[in-house]
Amino acid sequence: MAMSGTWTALACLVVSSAAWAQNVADGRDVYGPCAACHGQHAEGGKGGEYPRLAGQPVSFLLNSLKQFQDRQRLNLPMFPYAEPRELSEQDMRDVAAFITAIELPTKMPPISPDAPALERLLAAERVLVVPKVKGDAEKGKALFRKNCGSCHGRSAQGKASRDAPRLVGQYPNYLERQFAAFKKGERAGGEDHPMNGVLDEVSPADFTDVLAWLTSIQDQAPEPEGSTDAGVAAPVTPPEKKP
Amino acid sequence: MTTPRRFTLALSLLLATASLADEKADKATDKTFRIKCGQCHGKDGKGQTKKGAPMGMRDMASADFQAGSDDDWRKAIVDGFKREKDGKPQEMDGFREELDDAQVDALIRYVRALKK
Repeated sequence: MAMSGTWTALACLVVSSAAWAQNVADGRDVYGPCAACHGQHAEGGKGGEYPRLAGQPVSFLLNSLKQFQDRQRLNLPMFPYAEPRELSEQDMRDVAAFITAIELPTKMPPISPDAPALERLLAAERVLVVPKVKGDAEKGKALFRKNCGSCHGRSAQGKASRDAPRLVGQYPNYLERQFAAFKKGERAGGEDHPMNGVLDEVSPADFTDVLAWLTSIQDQAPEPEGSTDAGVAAPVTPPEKKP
Repeated sequence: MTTPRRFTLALSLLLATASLADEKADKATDKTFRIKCGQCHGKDGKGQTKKGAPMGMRDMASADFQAGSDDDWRKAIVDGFKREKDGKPQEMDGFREELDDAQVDALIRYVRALKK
């Protein structure tokens, strides 16, 4: 590469990195008003009245904000904040970039007992453990893997490629409300919505079992996509056959 | 009722039941296709979706797509794949844990029926 080409490439890299950093920093500012309900660390609020947003895939966050803005998804508390004059397309991108990067531990990180109380308090504030649900977790796991896993991921971590949200670590009462809303056709849907029809054969009792499983794995490392319960990694790269 | 009449009635009932069962199975496969495949391939199978178009997804009804064997398709449905085709990255999730053998077979028949 000629020297000038190298400089151009370097300049582009620096500019794009700066633009990305700026986006996340701007996103922190955009997030300010959201924190009143969704919490300072996007951990959700009022014990699940407002959902956890931290760590959700960017594509899901963007889709959701657009659905609120376009009134495809009706939600009274979100109404004023999603107005186009309040939330531009760039704001949506920035805030989504900020929120997706927030990681919330499920255990208190190691911290020196001599650490200042404020430091311990701040670390504790980020720990999110949602209430466990009683039910048949094994049955719930099987139901989840059969009906939900390909979009939400086999360990329910969400999948950006499917615009599908993370479900593990989400408040079970919030998920129950969404389950009911999807079943009644109240949540953004339409014939082409990916959730359309998915829950038709899933009863509320089944869903309780799914919640029992989801809340039982919140502190476990996710299983790799493409693996199976037998522990055998499924082949994912067959060569393309030449006709 | 005479015996031939009884036989005709029984046969008609049997055929009607079979036809009803087929219709139910078709509806179930149609729904499975829409939920599991339609998001990327489109409910018409043409691949012109938000996910499918950037991958250069082929129309399932095309001769090119239909040239794949049942075994190729079964492997793709069950195991998924990650590859590059015509310079475009393509990725498909495997449905090993979501679809049983009968559903996979029904989907293969469904996609074969899309042939132009």
